[in-house]
Amino acid sequence: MTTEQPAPTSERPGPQTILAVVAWAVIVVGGFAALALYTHTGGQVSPPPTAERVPIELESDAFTLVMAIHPKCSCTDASLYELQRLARDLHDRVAFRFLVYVPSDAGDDWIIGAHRDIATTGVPGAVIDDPRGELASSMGMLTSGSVALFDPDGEPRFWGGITRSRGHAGDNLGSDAIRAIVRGDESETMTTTVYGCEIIGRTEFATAGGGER
Amino acid sequence: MSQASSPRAREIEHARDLAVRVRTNRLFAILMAFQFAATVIGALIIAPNTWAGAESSIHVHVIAAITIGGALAALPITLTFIAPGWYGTQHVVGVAQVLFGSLFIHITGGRIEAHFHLFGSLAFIAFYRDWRTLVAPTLVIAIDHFARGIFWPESVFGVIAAAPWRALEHAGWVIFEDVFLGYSCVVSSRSARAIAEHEAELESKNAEIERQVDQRTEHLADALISLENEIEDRRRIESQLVQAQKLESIGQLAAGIAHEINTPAQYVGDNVRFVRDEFVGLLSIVDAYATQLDENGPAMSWDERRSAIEAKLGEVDYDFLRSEIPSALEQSLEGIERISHIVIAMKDFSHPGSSTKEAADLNKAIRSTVTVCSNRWKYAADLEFDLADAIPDTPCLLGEFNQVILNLVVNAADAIETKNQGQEKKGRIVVSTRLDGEFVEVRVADDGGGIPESIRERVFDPFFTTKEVGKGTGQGLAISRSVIVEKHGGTLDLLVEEGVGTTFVIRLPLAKQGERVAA
Repeated sequence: MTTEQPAPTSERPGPQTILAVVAWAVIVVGGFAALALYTHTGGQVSPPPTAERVPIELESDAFTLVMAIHPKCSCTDASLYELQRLARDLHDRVAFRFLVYVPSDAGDDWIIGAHRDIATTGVPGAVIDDPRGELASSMGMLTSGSVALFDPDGEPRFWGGITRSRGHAGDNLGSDAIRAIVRGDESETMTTTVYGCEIIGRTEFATAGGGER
Repeated sequence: MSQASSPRAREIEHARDLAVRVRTNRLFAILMAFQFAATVIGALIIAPNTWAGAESSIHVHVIAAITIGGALAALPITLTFIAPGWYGTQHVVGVAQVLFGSLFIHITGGRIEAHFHLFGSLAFIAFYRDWRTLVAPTLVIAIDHFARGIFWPESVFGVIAAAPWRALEHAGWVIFEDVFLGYSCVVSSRSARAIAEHEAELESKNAEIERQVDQRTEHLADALISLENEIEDRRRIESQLVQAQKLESIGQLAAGIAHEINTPAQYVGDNVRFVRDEFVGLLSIVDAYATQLDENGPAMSWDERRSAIEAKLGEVDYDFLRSEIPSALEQSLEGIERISHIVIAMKDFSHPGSSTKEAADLNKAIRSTVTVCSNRWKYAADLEFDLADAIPDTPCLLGEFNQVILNLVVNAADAIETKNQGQEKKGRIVVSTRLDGEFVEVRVADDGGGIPESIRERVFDPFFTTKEVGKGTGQGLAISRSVIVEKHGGTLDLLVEEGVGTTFVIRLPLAKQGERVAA
């Protein structure tokens, strides 16, 4: 035996449905607001040290751009993409360095995978393994995707992020500032927000004797 | 929005509109479920975890895909089931659809390709064929850009202080698409309205045609009843006509029949009277013998006795009586037999008939009819029979068949009489029967010169006659054809040998195998 379905009508449903629609709108707006907040909340940034305290070798006849990377951070893909664009424009005046975070218990696949991902970008530069993120940390780069630009004299000229928000590629203040600095133009921006994963976890930070973050 | 002109067209348009809404809502319900699954799977593939050094936890995008994506899909799907025809459902669907686009953009890292989802969604929303459904999604996109332009300008424009028109630029492209989609919705809506109006008009015309068909069917039914009544009347009249003609024939034949009966009756009477008269003489002879043989009588010699008897025999002319009386009696019996034959023939001919066909001996019927009308042909022609023996009883309306034979024989005699007018010679009529497959063929042939070609076509027409006034009504052959063709399913044809004579050929169907015919 089958029961016949009532034919659909254009009638407005009851007040409960209207209330449900309103509640839904509030929930959805709230959810998107929270997501937007998360997307636009940056990581920790500190000014890099001067040349004599930089733990890696810098170029003396060109700018050096260092990027700290957490290989598992998906948000860093957007930073690498933006770095590609910068390299395309500035490769003859800038030397690139990648500090790749390597946890203490990492296997070869971690390192190999990270090197491969960087090689895939086509950006020419030295890839430096950074056990427990100590090098990045010493250079104030605590968030994956952080960059630091040093001039040929070893002076830090810019530090921060080169994406507009978390994981979002596209025109951004950081990239514009780096281009301007390298080209010798005026730039009011010396630092920007970094969007990415934390390079050093709480445990490592505590082990390294870090304080509050 | 303008409306269709007639209430019925509006009703059709509304029903179509409702059907489109319900169907599109269902499509979106399926799409919402698919998008929800795709968002969660995409989030899990693109960024399953967020990291802090060696430690990881579920990425916020995964949580957002499940919670926000779930919320986005849940309400449109629910409304599709509980309020599929409500206008609000399609607006909720539209808003949810573009918000899904926004969620995709977040989860895919703001990829430019993900923005195509928004434009595709607007096109899909246009499936509702209602430009108003594009308004809320467009506003959501515009508000999103304006809000982010205010709070996080870099996230939209890549710079902190973008020119105000940049916010308009993003909304502008959406409105650019909306203009075309809205226009297509309006055009589609107009087409739907035109179709609804045509359909309403068609329905109205169909209803009018059906009404006319009903009316005409009713008229036809009335006409049919009237026609049936007319046919029934005609049958009755025809039947009455056949009966009337039979009575007319009997009337016309009466004098001849009377003559036929009167002739033998007359000589039977004469003979009986002769026997009665002469019987007295015979008795006187017997008395004479008795007197001469009486022992108590006067004594007389044998010669005297013999002379007395001889005298008596001579007196009553015994020799004459002895030869004439048997002859008179014989002739009387023959006369009575003739009368009896005529009476039986009359009885057969006057068979009242029945409304249903009965198996009949056609040869016998032909003989009786010819006998009854003998006075009509015997002075004009000699009539010969050539009747086949093996004719089985044939289903027929006997009374009406007899009438046909009578008509044909009388016509033959009349034709011969006309041809031989003023001459002493007699003509010849041959009545024959034979079996021809599933038919019995009866032919009535005369040597009356044949029917002229100019009138052959008309001889079966009612009231057509060449006979003088009072001799024929012109109904004989018309009725004959009606009887043979219409009532018996047979044929009545005419064979003419110009200058020689005419033969009428009747073909009557025999009973088919298994057909029941009253005996």
